[in-house]
Amino acid sequence: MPTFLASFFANPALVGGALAGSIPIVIHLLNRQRFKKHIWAAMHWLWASYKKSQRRLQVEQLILLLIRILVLVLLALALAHPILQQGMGLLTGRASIHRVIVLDNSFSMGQRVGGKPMFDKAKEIAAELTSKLSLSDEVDVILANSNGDEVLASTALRKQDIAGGIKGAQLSDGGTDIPKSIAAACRIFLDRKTTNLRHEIIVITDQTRTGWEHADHQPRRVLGADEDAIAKTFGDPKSKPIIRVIRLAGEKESDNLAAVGLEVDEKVVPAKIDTQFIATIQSYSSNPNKDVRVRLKIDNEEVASETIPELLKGKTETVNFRYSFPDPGSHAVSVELPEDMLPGDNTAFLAVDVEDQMRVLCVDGQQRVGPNASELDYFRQALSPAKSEEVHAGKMPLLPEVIGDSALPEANLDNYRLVVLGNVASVPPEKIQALEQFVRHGGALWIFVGEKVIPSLYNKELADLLPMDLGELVGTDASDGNQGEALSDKEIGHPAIAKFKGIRGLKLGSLRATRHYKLVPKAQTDVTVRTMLAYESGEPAAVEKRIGEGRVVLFGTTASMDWNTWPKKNEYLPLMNYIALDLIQPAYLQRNRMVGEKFSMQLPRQDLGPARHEGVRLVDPSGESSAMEVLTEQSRIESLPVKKAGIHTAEVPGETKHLVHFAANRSAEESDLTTMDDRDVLACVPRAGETGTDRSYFKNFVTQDDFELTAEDPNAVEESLKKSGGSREIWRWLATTVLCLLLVESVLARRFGNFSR
Amino acid sequence: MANDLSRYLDPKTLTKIGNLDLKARLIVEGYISGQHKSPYHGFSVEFAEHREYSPGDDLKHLDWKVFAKSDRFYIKQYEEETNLRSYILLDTSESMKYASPGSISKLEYACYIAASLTYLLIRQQDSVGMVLFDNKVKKFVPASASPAHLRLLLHELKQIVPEQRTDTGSILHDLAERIKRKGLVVILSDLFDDPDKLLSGLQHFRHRRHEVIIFQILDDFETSFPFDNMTLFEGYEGWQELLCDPRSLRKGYIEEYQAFNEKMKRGCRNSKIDFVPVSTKHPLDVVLSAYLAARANCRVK
Repeated sequence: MPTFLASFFANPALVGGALAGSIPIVIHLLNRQRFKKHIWAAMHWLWASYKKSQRRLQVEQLILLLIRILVLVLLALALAHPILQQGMGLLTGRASIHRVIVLDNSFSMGQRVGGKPMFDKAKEIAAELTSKLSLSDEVDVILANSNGDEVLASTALRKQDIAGGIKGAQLSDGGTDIPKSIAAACRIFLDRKTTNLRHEIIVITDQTRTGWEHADHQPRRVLGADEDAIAKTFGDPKSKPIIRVIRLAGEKESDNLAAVGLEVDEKVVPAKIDTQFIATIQSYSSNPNKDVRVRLKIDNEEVASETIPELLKGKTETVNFRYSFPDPGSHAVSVELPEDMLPGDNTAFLAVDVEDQMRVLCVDGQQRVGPNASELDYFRQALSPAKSEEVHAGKMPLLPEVIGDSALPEANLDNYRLVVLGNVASVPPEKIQALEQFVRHGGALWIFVGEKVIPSLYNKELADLLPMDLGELVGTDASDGNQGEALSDKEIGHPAIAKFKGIRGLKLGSLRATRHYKLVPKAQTDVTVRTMLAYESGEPAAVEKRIGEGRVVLFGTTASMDWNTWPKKNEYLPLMNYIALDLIQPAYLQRNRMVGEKFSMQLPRQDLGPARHEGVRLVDPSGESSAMEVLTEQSRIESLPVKKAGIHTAEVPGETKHLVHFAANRSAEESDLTTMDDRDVLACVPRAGETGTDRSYFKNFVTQDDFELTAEDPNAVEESLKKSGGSREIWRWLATTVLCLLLVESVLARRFGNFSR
Repeated sequence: MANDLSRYLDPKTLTKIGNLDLKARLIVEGYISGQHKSPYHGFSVEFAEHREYSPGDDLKHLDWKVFAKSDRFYIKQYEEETNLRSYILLDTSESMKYASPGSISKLEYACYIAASLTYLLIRQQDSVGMVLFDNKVKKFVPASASPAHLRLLLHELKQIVPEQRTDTGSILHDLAERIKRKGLVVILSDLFDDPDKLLSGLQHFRHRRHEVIIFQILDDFETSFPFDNMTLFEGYEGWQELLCDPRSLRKGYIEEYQAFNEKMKRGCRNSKIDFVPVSTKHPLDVVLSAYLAARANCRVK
């Protein structure tokens, strides 16, 4: 098969069918051989008629013959799907296309341009591009955002339905990944198998950096299944699409402030005690913003407001609010900024659980008679430094309860947020398993060693819980004149220690340990293990390990004054408190997520049955509800990936059904409306034949020949299509011509041959 | 009996009878049995006798005086005359052989007419002669009214072998010169010749004060040209064959035929000649009626 045919015909093998055009000639010749003989008398009239009609007959026969030849030749060509190339004359127009419009609906598209959201403009362009398509074209529209691309409309629908679908499209609260969305468009081509049409992907976007780059300025590269779809689509020269990116123009000067964070100073939020909320405000404006009013809302009621006198361009400011919750329970907190050009990022949300007190189980392995004689006496006082009546009156956030190690087997761990083992000789195997489950589901375990601890036994029985193995015991008693080894003041980076260091006049170096076990890393490296405290020698003094949702902390020395003098020091009390509060994972943390993540909530075992039986429905800020999955094994409920930012609610079973809040926040990256230059985008699309594709969105599957960046003008896009129109299939025209010719042939044949019958 | 005889007017029925003499008699008797008026009475002015009226007799010959006297109907009978001379000119050219499927040939049809006319004329005591021609006069039998003459003419008809081209126009001129005594000239032919030459020859007869009646004998196919498929037409009389799609020529052919007939009709009307187109499918009484009308016309004059 000559290769040039392949560029003119989709099915070049069928071009041979044009030889069928010789059939009428053959039939004509055969007919001349097949006739009847008749002896005839009135030949003079017959010859006279023949001589008069001869010329007309020849012309008529020739016309019919040519029409019949033409019918067969055109039919064969139509079956071969001829493709008219650019520059082949007037017949060349725009080719029939399969167009996939990728409509960026990330929340940055909500920025107002000329008082109107940019997304409205994008929808207008998409609608216009759709309305210009002819009946032979196909179109799909997908909404592109980080929540997962959504097919909005396709040619399976009527044109007005597609227009309606585009009109009703909503902004999402997610970011976007343009290369990933282009891969989604390729998957549509592959699924629909429209290889007979020209393929085209039109991306309508504000071209913010986050659509093309990660936060570290690395290009968003397609991976895995997305890479396969791109490779397959662009690997086939016949179905290779062209990508046109329509960049929508924003305002020249940006005026956008974003509430990028809202958190509580202490993770534990007690009732009736002031809680500090910290709101982080970031400026993405081109100019300084003055008198920025930030409002705090609790359960949708404004309770406080603060004003930032001046927020400079590109700067971040934090605003602190104090608020005392009157009652325990779940609450929704938000901070709001004044209206600006991107309203979507003016609010940050937080769901908190206000609790009376958090119970801490202290298992004392060496209980003695007398004040401060037992192993955990100092420690208990450090956690709740108040009189017993005050502690039990709920005036302290932590409520330590001390039991002896013999009572450990009977203890119900579900009632506690933190379990402390102080010099406990051994833990029963069933309780070890219970502790593992406790930690895995969000509980915290704090282990102090002592004389009763046998390192080899600990290393063996608590192997799965310990962050490191207990090694050699070093040091001697203080009575031997041993000053002990001081803790290092060097920055280690642990948040609890960082908070401790924020208190002026306190030094970790004041805390010295006369004896301690060396903490030896396990043979198998665990990336969740980190050092919390270290001695000046650099040796770790306390290490931490994450297991599931919870954490385990191991101290190489005692909680009492047996091996150290810590309880005598001012630093002891705040250090123990900060570590305890850091270890305790409030339940609400799992209920604060980014858009695109899943909400999760731990449920007591007794509530799992009712939850499964009755179901738990999550209601989003717009009032739509969806079912939450009950994961019995993990004792929790889990939502689908969250699509809408804001406060979500769910009624969960318990002693009584109660309302629980969930909060979803938008990615702060999308608030940055800085756009990518065309040059920067093209820098990540290699030229044809170029190698070295480290910084390429699509490796070398897509080249600059397949990629075009245009302004926000649909007419310019149509013009561009015509110019690069490439090819146009004309088989429909040929088939129509064949039908017309057949009609003409039958009329003429009747007129020429049979009209005198 | 009358019905039995009339079926012999159908040319197809006659083909089953071998004897031409018998055929002629059956045609004439069959024709006569259907008429109210007897064709056998002469038209002489010499009164001979009376006879009683019988149904079918012409009322104009009733003797009203005898009726007034006797209250009976008598017909006046006259001496018959034999002064009418008739000549039958029969075209025996090759084209007369043509017969479409299921039909008799034009020549056969012409022979039936010639035989039946001869029989009728001789029964009426008229004298009848016959000329057989193609591109020349093949046989010229002078007119006679004797019964033996009938057998002679029928014999001549049996001997015809059509093989030559026709040249009717020239022959008519020739015969107009040879037939000197005025009479009735009956021409049996398909007239496949130039119409101007034909009309010229016919006018020559009229110039000689002959009454002329032409029976143009054609096959149905020759007037309708009903062919559909590709056909190779092979012609008589030396015409070149023609391969064609008949459907495309049908209209032109029929126009040619109609133009010829129109010209002949107009020419004959101008020359007071009876032009009778006849199809070989037509019953023979059409021909006999036409002949008798022409004969009556001749007597009146």
